[in-house]
Amino acid sequence: MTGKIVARGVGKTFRDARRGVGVTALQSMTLAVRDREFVSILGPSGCGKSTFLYIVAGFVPATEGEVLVDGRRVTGPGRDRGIVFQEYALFPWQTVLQNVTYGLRAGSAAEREARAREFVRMVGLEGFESHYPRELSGGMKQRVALARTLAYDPDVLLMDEPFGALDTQTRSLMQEELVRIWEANQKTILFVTHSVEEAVLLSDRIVVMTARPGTVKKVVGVPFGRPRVLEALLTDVRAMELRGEVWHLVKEEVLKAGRDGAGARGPRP
Amino acid sequence: MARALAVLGRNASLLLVLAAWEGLPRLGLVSPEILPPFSVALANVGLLLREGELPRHVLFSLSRQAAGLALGVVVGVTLGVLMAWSRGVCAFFEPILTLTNPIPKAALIPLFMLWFGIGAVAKIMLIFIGTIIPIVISAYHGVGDVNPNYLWSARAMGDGTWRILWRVVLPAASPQILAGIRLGLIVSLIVLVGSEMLAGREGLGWFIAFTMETGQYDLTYASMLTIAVIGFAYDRLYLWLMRGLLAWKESP
Repeated sequence: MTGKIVARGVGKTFRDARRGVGVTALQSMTLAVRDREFVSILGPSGCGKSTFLYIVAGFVPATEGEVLVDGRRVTGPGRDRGIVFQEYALFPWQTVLQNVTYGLRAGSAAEREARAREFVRMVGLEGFESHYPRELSGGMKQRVALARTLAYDPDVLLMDEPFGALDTQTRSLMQEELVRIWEANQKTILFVTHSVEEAVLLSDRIVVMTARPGTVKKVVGVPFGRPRVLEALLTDVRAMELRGEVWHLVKEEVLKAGRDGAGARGPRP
Repeated sequence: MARALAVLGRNASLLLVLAAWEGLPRLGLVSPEILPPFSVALANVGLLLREGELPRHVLFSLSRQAAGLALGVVVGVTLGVLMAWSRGVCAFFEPILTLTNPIPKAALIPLFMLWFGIGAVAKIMLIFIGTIIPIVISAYHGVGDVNPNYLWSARAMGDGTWRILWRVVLPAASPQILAGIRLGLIVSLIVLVGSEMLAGREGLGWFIAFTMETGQYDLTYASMLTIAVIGFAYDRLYLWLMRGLLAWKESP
């Protein structure tokens, strides 16, 4: 099995200290993501999809199996993998420009600043360079978070429900923005979401996960070409059928999760 | 005019006390021997300042206070951060801090005189002990409350422990740390004046005790007024500094 990101039999068991037992959040997760592919991970809450993302990011060690990025085993975080969280990850004591400059290492201070300005402009926030995060809306904050991660140019973008906290309109705009940026920058994206529609609109492939302990239930290919016009896809018959198919897969697991009383969550950052 | 009224309204309690201070002795309700009117006390402050006696004592007191507070800030923040980062360090220091915290610092003054003499060392150590506890506690909680997303983001961008500590943890915890230092600032003035009143030959506290013993009550009031003004000015200055440092926050 080859690919930009390869997960082989990845499992994670947390120790529940209070009950003195192990809780398996993730089991035998096997997956290969090609270079420059956009893969979404979809599943009921508590299925371990975020845990899997954190294992790929190197924040959380797997208790079983291994993750390879570019053929190298993941043992910790690295600058080849950038992360965008759902919220609250911008440094509130830094301005937009300082936040975007934070991850830059190469070049003089002036060169780093110029690069940061370029990325602030790319996410459409020119003029907001000296604003603090508290002065921005949720959507703008996520644009800055995206710019901060893209600016230091990681090959892989790991996104943990990045638009989950946004209202519907802002969310649609951000999805279009992400697709535009991704098509221009050609990153490999692993995108965790609980929205079937979002997964269908954005991805090349959708990984549907089972209820806890989470593992791959089915991988669904998304046949729409690029560049995509998201608005057109909203009313496209094939897209609607695909949404129905994926929703059905997820629903089975949501029902199963409800029956087993699962809902306990893995580690939040 | 409206603004002037608003300022008046905000300081109504203060103005009332000052009016009573001025009025009671003037109306003969209290002996001016025991309570000279506010305006007289104020005039005495001016006199003492001009004659050079008070500035010397103020300088003595403030230099010791600054030394003790600086020591408290450096050691307190370091200890608080270490305690938040290491369970072992926390377990080691927690009992001694919990035990020392409720002891009124004034009760330690005689002990410290015994150990360190009546000079500057004892006073600086007392201020250090008095200020370090609120600072340790605030730094400990401030660091413990840092959003883990910040730490993970910094690690994802390749930061090592020291860079994260310096560029993420301390700024993120700064609102709590600065609030703890503000508490320490007040404590330092209280402990300082108390220790000077009990021992020594200079400083504002000593000056108060001295004028009391020699029956120069008008000067006692003048020096107490000086302490109140210094404390107030100090706190306002610090608050102003804090607002500047925390401009990124909603409501510092």
